[in-house]
Amino acid sequence: MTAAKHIRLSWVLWGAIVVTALIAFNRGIDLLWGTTILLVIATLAASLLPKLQLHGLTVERGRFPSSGTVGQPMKLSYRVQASGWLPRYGIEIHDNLPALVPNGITAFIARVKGTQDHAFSWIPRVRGCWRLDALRIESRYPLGLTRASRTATHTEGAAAPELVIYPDFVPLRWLPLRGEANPQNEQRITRLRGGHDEFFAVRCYRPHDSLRSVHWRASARMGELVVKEYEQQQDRQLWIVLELSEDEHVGEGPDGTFEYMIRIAHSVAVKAMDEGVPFGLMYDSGERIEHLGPALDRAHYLQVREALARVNPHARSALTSNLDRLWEALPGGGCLLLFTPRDPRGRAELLNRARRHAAHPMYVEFDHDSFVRGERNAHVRTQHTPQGLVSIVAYGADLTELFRT
Amino acid sequence: MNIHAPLDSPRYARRLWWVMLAGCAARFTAERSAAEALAGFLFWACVFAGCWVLRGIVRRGGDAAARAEKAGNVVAVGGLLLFLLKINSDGLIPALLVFLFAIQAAAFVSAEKRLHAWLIVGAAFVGLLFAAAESRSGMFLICATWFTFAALGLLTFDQSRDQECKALLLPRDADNRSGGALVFGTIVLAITLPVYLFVPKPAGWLIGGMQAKTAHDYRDYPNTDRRPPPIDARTAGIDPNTDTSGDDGGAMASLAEQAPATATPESGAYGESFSSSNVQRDRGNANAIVMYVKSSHDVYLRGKIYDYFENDRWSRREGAARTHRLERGWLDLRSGKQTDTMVRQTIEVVAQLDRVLIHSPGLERLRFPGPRVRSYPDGVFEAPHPLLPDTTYSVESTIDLWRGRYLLRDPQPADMQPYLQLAADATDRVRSLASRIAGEGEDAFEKALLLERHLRTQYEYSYETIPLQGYTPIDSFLFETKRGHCEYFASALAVMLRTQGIAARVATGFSLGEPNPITGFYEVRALDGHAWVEAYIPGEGWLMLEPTPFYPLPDASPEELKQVADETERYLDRLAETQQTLAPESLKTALIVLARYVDANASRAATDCFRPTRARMDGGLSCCRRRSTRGRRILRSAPDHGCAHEPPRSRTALPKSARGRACGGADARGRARTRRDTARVPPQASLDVPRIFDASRRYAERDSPRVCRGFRSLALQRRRAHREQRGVRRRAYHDRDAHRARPMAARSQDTRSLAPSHQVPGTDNRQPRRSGREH
Repeated sequence: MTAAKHIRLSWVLWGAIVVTALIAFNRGIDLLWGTTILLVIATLAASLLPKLQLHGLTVERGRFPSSGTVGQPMKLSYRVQASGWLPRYGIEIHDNLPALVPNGITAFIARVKGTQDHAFSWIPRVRGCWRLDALRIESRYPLGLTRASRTATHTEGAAAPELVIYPDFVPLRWLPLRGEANPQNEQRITRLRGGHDEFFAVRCYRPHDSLRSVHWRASARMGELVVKEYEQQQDRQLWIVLELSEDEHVGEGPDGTFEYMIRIAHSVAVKAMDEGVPFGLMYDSGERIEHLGPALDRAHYLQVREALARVNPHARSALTSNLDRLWEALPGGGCLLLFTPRDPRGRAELLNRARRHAAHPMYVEFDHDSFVRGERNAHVRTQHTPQGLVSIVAYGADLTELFRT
Repeated sequence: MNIHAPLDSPRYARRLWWVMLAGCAARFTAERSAAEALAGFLFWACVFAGCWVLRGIVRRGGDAAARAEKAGNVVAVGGLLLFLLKINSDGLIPALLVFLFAIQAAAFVSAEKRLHAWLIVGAAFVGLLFAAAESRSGMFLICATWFTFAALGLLTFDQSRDQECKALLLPRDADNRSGGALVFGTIVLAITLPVYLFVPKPAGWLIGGMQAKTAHDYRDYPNTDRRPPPIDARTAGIDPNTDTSGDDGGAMASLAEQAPATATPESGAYGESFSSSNVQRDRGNANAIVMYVKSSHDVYLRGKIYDYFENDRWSRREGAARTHRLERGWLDLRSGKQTDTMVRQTIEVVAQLDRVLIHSPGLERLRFPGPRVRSYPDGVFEAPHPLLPDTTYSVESTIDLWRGRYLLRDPQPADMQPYLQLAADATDRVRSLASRIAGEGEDAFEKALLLERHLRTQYEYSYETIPLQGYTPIDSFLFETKRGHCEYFASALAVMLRTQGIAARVATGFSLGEPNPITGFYEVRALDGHAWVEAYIPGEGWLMLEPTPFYPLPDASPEELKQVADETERYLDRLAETQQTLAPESLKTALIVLARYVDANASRAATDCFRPTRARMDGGLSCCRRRSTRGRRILRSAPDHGCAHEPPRSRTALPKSARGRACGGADARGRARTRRDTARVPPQASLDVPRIFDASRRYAERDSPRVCRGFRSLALQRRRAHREQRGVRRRAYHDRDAHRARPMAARSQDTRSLAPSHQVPGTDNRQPRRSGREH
């Protein structure tokens, strides 16, 4: 069966051609000679037709959204135009959409004649940001013996230049802010409104900012909308610190710890916003420490989501190896969500220093072995340690159970 | 392509079923019997249909894969049992084919992956290859076309499905047909057909290709220690005067003694065993195929040789027979003599024959499925028993092309007197005629050629004398009737040669005719029985002479590069000619003539395109080609056609592409040409349906009153419609009153003037087809 994996139809066809030709020529059998010709013509035609297929074929993006979310269906379309009266078959469209398999087929169109809009539905599986370059069309019709490829004509303005796929989130059932993991205590937490915080500054209005926060007087004075920013109480903040070093992660794509981390961060952010806890995001982009927030409004959430969609692992050292920079950027007090490093020494140091720096540190620790082996384990183990609350997440874990003690 | 991908669409089952069915149909085109082929096909079609139902049943509910595998195993076990039954009854190859079908059925039931689908297609393709090697039927092309569409449809669908599954986006419209198989199949067939027709195909290498097989048991001779049963009537104690059947009658007489239930004159014997009355009475058998022959050269198949002529009848002198033991089916008589032409033939017997082995003269190697064969000094070989259908044997013969004629370089017989024997009642005017004609010749060869040419040019071939088969009144033929069939010509030439002191004998057998363009096999029919002359040239050997103008002169050029298009044209010519001879009034005749017309028109442009140098190859013959279209020229004796250039000496003097098109009087292809003038159709470079209609109508009016009535009624309807339309216009634009005032007789005259000009030709006023056109 191992050898059977390497069987190619072209080999089979050429082998059959050689065998039939030898028999036909040796015995002088006309029908075998005809069968040989039939096989040769079929093989040659199958090898040449892909190139002929792409002649006079143009593809452009039709209705195409600029963003989406992992796990949520999207609708998009391509407009295909085939010149001449001959239909085209088996046209593959290769677009720069996020896919699990790199360089895979984006869309397959069985038959094209004239100008047609082909609508597709798509459920993104990978978050990220992709620049939509020119389309590439391919054809392997009819037998897949050869592949012809051509870059399709790209019409300016016909498609969004960039496609952002936001990470999905899971509805966390527990988020022990301020170290309270008891669900009964969570019910006493009241939503914070702006009036409880100290005024910090005004800034320009950004989309999705609440109209309640608009400083109307200042807006009238400055001639543009400005909103009020409040410095929230530090002990009621939640900071999510991402570890982007690729050395600290295992696994590929959605099944890797990196995407688990993004999903968890997104879920925590959503939960914090629901709970009325200002949250911020911090990560080392490789060049500097980036931090967003803390804030509680929707505009801030969208910023955080955008950042979560765009971050990618880098090859630099782990954030925990440069904790001084981290603590400089982080305000003291409040809650802190950290992803523990793989190195036991770095992990121990992180736990010790985080406890000293934050009021309520929380840690997410990945069971890297399960990710490497691909062994699913839905159970999430959460335990209190002297350094804080630690949840151990394995591959396939039910993230809704995160931080459940 | 991932061959382990699942067959996740119900369309796979349907497409696989069609592939299996098409492969099955193609395989059964190899059956000789139509009833057996139909029965076999229906049986396996039912089996495959049952497997489809079974596949649907076992896939309902859970654990479908395990149940499908079990069901597939059950089917495979059934196939194994069939294989065991078949191997005992029919042999290994048919049993293996049965097992192949059973494997397909089992794989079909349990198919889960694409690998299984590939295996099914591969097994069906093996069946197709077997059919291609064994089939002699044109139905194979239909089944192969079917299989092509089915297999390409499956593979195209599979590829499309594979890509579709790999695609990231899902189509939103439900109607996502993965089409293109029909287009691809059409493209492939549209390219394949002209390539197959016009690309020359080489002759077979025949490495290990000398086949010998049979479904029967050719045991040793019934009485190996005794002399063989007499073939010659004289040695059997029968008065030679009563052996009036000539070549065929003698064979049939001896055959009747040895195997009373073997053959009838229409089916089993060689030679022109039928008479024209037989043709009228039993046309089907006269046109029945006696054997299929794969031959490297267009050489006559020789059976018996006759050397004794008395009372206008030929009989055979029997020499000492020699029995050869075959070593593993091989008989090697190679003498190492240097010859020009090695003729390789594989003969598949279809009808029951005499025990004489039919093959090209000069046998050197024989492969026969029996323990022994017997040979006679004159080169006749015999099998232990009469040859039964489904027997295949192969021969290698050496024959020289010497001065334009075939020559058998055999040593001079010790006793030449029998070959110089003349009947006691031989008339002087035969001697004087032969002396007058051959007088100009300096040696035996030239004399023989002069006599042969005289008969080919001055006498006419006719079927009318066939009722007198075996009886050859040379005197009346040479000086009174001057018409006859091949026996008359052969007898006359042999006697005339003997009068000039040239040893001669009459050989009987079959002419090969034209190969079937589809299968490449010569279809030798009972109608192809023939007689010719072998004359001994001192110091050289036996020279084959063809005195009958109906048959072409020998062509010893090896047919290494043949075109199916040419073969198709010649085959259609011959088919039409035979059909017109046997059933001139049938619709089939009109259809074949129509097919000839379509073939000539459709292939002309393509032929010119594929062979642009033909005009150069034809050289000086272009004047003739301008007067005629390919294959439609009237070829007669040189004085008739008025061509200025010198006619070629033989067909071999021409290039292959020009052969059969050259004008050349006596040297031209007689038989096919003499009938072609009945199909004198104006050349058309493109298909023109009205012209085809008119041409077919003309043929039908001339040859078939029944078809003529159909065509004429159509023509009348058209004329009536036209007349009515014209009448409407006339009433609208002309004076209606003046028209009505004309007398009825005048209007009737108008009507008669619109009647078809071709009246129904009755049997009496029908012109004989060959009168005035034959030699």
